[in-house]
Amino acid sequence: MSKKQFRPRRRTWLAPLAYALPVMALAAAALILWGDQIRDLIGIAVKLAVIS
Amino acid sequence: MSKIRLPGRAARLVSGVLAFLLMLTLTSTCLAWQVNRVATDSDLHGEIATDSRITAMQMERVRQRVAELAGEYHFREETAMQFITEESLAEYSREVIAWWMGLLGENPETEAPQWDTSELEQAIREDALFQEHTPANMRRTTARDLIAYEIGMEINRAVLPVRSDILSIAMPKVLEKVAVPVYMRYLAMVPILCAGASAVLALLILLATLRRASKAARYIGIALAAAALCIVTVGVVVYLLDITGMIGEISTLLAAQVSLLTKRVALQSGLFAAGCLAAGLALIALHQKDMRRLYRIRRSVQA
Repeated sequence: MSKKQFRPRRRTWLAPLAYALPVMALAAAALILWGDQIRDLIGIAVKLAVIS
Repeated sequence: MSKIRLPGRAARLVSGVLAFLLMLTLTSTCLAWQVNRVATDSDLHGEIATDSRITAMQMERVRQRVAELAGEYHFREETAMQFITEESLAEYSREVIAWWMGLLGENPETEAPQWDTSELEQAIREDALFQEHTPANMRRTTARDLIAYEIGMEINRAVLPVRSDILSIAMPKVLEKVAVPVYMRYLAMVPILCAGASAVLALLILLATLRRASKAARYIGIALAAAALCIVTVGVVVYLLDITGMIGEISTLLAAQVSLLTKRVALQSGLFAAGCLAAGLALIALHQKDMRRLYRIRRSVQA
């Protein structure tokens, strides 16, 4: 058995960030690539449905 | 000294994949729960619509319109405003919410509830100032069509600043094509299914790392903490889209309600994420403590 497995690693604390990074990157990419279009679509729906 | 047992490479790989899936199901549980709340919880919408700040904004808007009409058609504002109180507006708001939430159910009522203006119309016709400035043969039509009707429309717009005629026309057509009530029942099941899947995945991680329970704590803890980060990310994305700002450009009243709604949703999601983060970090700390203990044992044996 490797000695390394017994050492408590500080990087274990960063593991949640590593796991969440793909989701965070996907969300950021979606916002950058489609954020304006999503806002435009919502804006059109709001203008159609909402009375001032 | 008995041999220290740890999960093998295959078990660690499987646990890692399961932990990633657990992170996704936990995030989905939170998001599905909030979507379900917004779509089906009429108590939540009732609390927002009858919030004192919202009712005060609605009263101010109606009061302004009554003042305009009183100036134009010469009647006392108090004559109309005696029928329009915060309690009556709140009651009307509750009726409207019951109506539009019913649009997603079986046999929806397509016509939105209207504010009853009959007493208001009568009071205006009997107003001394109104009678002084309006010929007798014009009083009925003026009071009904030009004053009471306008006040009623303003109250409708203040309470439901949405084109209800679009909903009235569109919803029956949507219901013909799509079984909305059936999908609403499925929507209610989604957070429960996601929570169930999370429990199953946690159990599978436990089985995969049966040799040492603290390793299961590590992977489950990582999934919990990562889910908290994902939930916060989704919240930040929604905040950056600035939907409230877009609505605010057209209707400050509706924007105020949407803002209250997003704050409630954000608070509950934030509490869920905080709970996941705390639990996750606690489990990781348990794992680290166990590994330190094993490391000390191993070093003392080798020494």
